[in-house]
Amino acid sequence: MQELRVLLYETPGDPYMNLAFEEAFARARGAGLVPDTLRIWRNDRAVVVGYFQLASEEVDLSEAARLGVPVVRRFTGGGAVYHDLGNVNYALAVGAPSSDPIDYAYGRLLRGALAALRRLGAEAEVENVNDIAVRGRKVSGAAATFRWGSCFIHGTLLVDADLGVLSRVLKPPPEKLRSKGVSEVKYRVANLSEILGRRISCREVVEALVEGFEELLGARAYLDVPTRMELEVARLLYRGKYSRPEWNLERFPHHAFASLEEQVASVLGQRT
Amino acid sequence: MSEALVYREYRFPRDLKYSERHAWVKPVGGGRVVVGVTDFAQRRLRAVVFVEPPTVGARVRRGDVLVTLESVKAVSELYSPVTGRVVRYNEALDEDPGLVNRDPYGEGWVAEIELEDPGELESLLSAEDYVERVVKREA
Repeated sequence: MQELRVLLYETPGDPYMNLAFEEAFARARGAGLVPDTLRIWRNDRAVVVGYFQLASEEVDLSEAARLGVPVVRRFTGGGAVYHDLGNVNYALAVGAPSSDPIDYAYGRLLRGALAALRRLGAEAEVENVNDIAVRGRKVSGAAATFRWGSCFIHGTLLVDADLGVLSRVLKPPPEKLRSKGVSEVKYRVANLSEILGRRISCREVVEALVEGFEELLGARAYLDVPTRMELEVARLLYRGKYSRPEWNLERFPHHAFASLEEQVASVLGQRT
Repeated sequence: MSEALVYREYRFPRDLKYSERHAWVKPVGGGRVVVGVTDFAQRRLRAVVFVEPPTVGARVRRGDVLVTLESVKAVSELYSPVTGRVVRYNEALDEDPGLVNRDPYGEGWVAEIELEDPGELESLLSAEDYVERVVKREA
């Protein structure tokens, strides 16, 4: 039977490191240095914006500062999301598919998260290609990327997050974007605990996610720890990118990071 | 537009060269080429909503990320098909990134690159080779 490496590595108090590690393990998988890997992790209160977003357009920055909610950019696209310890994130890095990568990511890999929610007793359905809703309310959103030779998908899962803080720090999307063939479910988020009417522990969610992806991939999961190389790459990315305001707050910060790319590639043995 | 090779719903002009990673290359004289995203790749991306511009004046190596593209459902990269200096970027993509989808070989061009080695063009694929070796494998 195939095996699925599972990482529970997380730095909830440091969202910048959490996102730096997210990129590090995706790149390590892309470089063929680690096997297919599922990571499950949490941030304490933070807003995570999409690769192409401008933080000031999506986030009430003064309110976020007042509430002590840091803003960090991720390397995948899509909209801004709110994290706290009541939200569980999953991330799966596998090899690049030979077929249509977007179909593969959402038509197939997303089903691991769907299976997890069903295991928890939720009548979960995929909406808008990459959201998962239960009874018309979104509990999970996902984003994918095909870089560094890997196929990567990650997503949120609202368990019992503080939606009051969410609505205070995230700006509502403009009306014009709301009508582009996207169902309103995208903007009607809810916690799984509330929908199911019982308290759900994060441990339960972690187990359901592991089982959901085991089922999907026909693999047996084993718990692992990050490799030294993954941590080294994460530290480089943290210092050179994720901890920097120009990465987190500006829209196109790519150019500032050319030398960082060289360092990362060098650690991964991809270039001299 | 000159004659194109058609495979399924995709078009590949025969006067262009192609990379295995879905860039097209058009020599424009003076040791320069214009590059863009192939019809096959733009359909795979779905609707492009953002293009992160390259640094004009910077050197890129073949295989380096030239631009990062966000489509409605994923972030992808266009890898430079050649080594050289980026001399121009299609700024129209800032306002209308959908040009990549609507006119991939025309108004949706991405960048102009000054080749370090004009001979590098010889190592790129013809439309036929791109379809046979790359598109048919992935379609």
